[in-house]
Amino acid sequence: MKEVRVLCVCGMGFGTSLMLFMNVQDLGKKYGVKVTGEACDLGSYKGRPCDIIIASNEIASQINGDGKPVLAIRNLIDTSELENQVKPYFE
Amino acid sequence: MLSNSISKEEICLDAKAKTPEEAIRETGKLLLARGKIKEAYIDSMIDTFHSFGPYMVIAPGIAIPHGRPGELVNEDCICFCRLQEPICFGNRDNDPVSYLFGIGSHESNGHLEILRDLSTFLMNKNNIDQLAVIKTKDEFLELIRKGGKGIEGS
Repeated sequence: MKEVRVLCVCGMGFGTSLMLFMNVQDLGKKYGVKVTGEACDLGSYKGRPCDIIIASNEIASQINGDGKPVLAIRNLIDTSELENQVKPYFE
Repeated sequence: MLSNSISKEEICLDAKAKTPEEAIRETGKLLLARGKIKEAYIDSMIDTFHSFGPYMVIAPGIAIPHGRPGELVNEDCICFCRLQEPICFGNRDNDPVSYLFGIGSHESNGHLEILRDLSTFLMNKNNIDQLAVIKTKDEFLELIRKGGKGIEGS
């Protein structure tokens, strides 16, 4: 099974980032991808191992992905938006 | 289940606020109603807004204000605050805000279930439409009882 390491980032590491992480995990099941990784806060995301970084649009603009793709999500409860963005990495 | 986590004291359907700070404070007061947070957590919620900007506006019209998880929160909690007049938080995609779901977590992962239930509830657009329509706290509780189960497709 393909594994994708996802790092979800938000201000505190427990609100929007966790919500995103749970939704990405659900999408992983749909695509037969093992989603590993974690949710963390803006102060501590740097250097954590990952394949992609996901954050709300407002937070994403403050993230330096250091070469890793940073996906910016506008509407966190719109699963089709999230799906469209993560799809290329899940297929 | 979401409906087990919210009591009537933690619901407000006609809050008045002119600024995001006032809206967050009104929301925080609801979490305080049953002592699930310490009063200082409300300041932490407002600080989060000031420090990280309006990212807590997660979808059009909907914000989930929260502060730093930890000892200012006595018990994992959630509340619902509807504003009389929508106000702008400065989120370019999702302003203005009409509905606030305040959340608090004692440990950083303690509230996972609440967050998942909330997410499930909000993914059903009918539920969001109903938030504008409901007139009483009982109707709100009924809505989250029916709509928060995750059995209805989005």
